[in-house]
Amino acid sequence: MKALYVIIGAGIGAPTRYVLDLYLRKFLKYPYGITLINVLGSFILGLSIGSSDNFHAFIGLGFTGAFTTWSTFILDLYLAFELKQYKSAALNLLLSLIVGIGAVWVGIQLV
Amino acid sequence: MGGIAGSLIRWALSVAFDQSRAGTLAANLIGVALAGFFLVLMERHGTDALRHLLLPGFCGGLTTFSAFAFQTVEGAGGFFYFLETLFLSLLVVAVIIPVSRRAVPERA
Repeated sequence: MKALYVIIGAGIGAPTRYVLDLYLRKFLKYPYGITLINVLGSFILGLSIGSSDNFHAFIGLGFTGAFTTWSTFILDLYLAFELKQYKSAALNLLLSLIVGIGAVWVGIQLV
Repeated sequence: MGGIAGSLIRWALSVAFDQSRAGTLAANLIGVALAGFFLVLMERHGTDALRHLLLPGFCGGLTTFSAFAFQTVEGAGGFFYFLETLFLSLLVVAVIIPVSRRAVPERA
């Protein structure tokens, strides 16, 4: 049963990330779409902490787990570095980590 | 579809390691390594439906930022886990991409 919740959550989270990132890339010069998605997803996970097992499977393991991504974040950092866009890479790194981790914390405090 | 498969494997890893930090770390590192290879494949051979399934789908679903952020805040030793994940991920990508570029032939 838990697996079904993970499947439904991931089934919504992953396509939402893809579509939102594609849309944001039209407006942004640098790939900050994933930065925003990771911060937003972390905040939602923070809000869901302490909820029931099934809801955690749906939101935590499924939705926010698939909505946020680590692989694209690391690839974006590497590619920006390769293109010598050090400023953009540093900004992405700092924003993602500080604001992302802060967002989880704020989410936890709110509930 | 790729996102669902990736998420289920991430969940299975967290159960297998019986410790969520180790499971998330394993999922993120495997995902970064695969994503680096697929990226080079797309650079060389272009993008098609299968590669979309694999990179933003499977690797995106397998890896996660939210759990990493949560596990950094929650419990003791978070700062070490934070540095460990970041350092190892950057190391993996800095090795995988140049190696893949050598391994995957350029197409005229």
